Amino acid sequence: MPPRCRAIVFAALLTGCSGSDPARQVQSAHSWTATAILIGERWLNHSVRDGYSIDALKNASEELTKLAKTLQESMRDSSREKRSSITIPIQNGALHARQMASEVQSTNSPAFSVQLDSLRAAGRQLDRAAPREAQ
Amino acid sequence: MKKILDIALGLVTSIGGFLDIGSVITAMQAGAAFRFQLIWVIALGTICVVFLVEMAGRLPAVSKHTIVDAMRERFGFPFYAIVMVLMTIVSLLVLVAEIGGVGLALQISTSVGYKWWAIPVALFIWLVIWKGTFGLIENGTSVLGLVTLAFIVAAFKLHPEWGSVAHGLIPSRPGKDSSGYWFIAVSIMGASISPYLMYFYSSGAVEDKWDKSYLGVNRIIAGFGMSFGGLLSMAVLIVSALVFFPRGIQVDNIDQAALALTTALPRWGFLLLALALGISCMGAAFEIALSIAYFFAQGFGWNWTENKTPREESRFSLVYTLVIVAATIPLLLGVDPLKVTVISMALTAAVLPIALIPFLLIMNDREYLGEFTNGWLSNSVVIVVLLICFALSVVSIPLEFMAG
Repeated sequence: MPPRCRAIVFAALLTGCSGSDPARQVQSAHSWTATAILIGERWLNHSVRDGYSIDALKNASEELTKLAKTLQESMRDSSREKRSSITIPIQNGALHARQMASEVQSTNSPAFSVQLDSLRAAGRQLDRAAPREAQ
Repeated sequence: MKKILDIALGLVTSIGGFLDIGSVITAMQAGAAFRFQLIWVIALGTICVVFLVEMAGRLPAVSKHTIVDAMRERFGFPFYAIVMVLMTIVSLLVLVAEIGGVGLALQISTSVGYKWWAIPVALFIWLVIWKGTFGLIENGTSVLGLVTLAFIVAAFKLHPEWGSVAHGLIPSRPGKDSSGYWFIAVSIMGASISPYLMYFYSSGAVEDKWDKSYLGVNRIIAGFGMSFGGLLSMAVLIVSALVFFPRGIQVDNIDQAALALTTALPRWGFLLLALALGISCMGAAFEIALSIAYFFAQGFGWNWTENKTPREESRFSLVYTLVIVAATIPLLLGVDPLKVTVISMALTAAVLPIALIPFLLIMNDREYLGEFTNGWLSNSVVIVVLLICFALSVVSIPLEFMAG
């Protein structure tokens, strides 16, 4: 690799390149969905601060929204059905994570639990459409 | 009595000061992605660091030379200058990661972003080095760093299958994502065998006026302290393997890492993680800033000691001041500390042979060590590990960069 390209790759890594491989993007979506679920569970048993939960859930929501958009682009050769089966649960996950952040702000535990259950359902839907890599 | 106190303090320093952002994050990533499969890399890195730290203490105790003094004298300044430039670049990247690590610990504790903490943290680090003594810096943060023992408590509380953990000590090939596996392996090596640690330890031995009577103390500190430090890294990996791996959570953001201790320690885990990360990164930042100042001061033959006032060693003080400022700038520009961590650890592994093979040659030179030169075992272990590190980094770093 010429030095100039190496410098560009290095800079891309430092500024947050998340990989152009759809398989890695789907893994990342699984990871952020599971992260939001774990934050939700920990918030319900008072193991994490409210401020952290709000920030982390908003961050998870943003990451999931970004991943859904990137996947729309990187899977454009796949059928529309296949693409939607993956991107819709990710978009739903983003929505529920954002809602959960709002419920933490208003300290509404019952509404938070409902959103958490919906997020779990979105996670299961994503698992069915694109199973996690063999562990 | 003084020797017993030295051993106790040395062990506390090795244990409390072992973890830093590199060892925490690489071990977490390893456990989250590959369960216990990469424990062997931590074990290999720890064995190598035990030998290297013992050498780094033996050289000044016998010859009264720090590694830099001996390297400059033995190989000449032009050669040392190459090593100094490389080491400074890599150590500076690690310093960015450590200052950022303190900022991230504060971010999860206060919800104020790490960028806002960059200047206060850098100022605090600078002020402590400016006003403090070597003993205060070395022992103070290490005593506080004992909070990292929370990872060992958490590992036991999660009841891992110890058979599977032991199985991870045997090197194995990954079933998936080979480039990711080897890249994390290289990063763990870089985090375990940080060359700045050897340079800092040898300068510390001169600061503490070690002589041949300290060889036993040195052996105990290097052997027990570093081994226990390695166990701490393994505990981080085990906790991550039990919390993140089953859920498919990758650790590439502080929001994910912050949850590591909350399963085993629901009440205090979150706070303990923030404290462990903040204190261990702070301790490492002190050591790195001082190490870079030692590279320059010892290399150019200036006055150097952390025990004198800045007025008496103005050039030494100027170097660490500039280094702290330089490391703060990327954070203010929004560079992600965790990404810098992973890259800097891999680069550290790549430069290990350049940083440590000249040191190994000195350790075999009778002019410096007399009858205390290295034996075949320490030479073989270090050479084999350095070669593995170099080979892995040459292959895995480009592969991982290309994979994005």
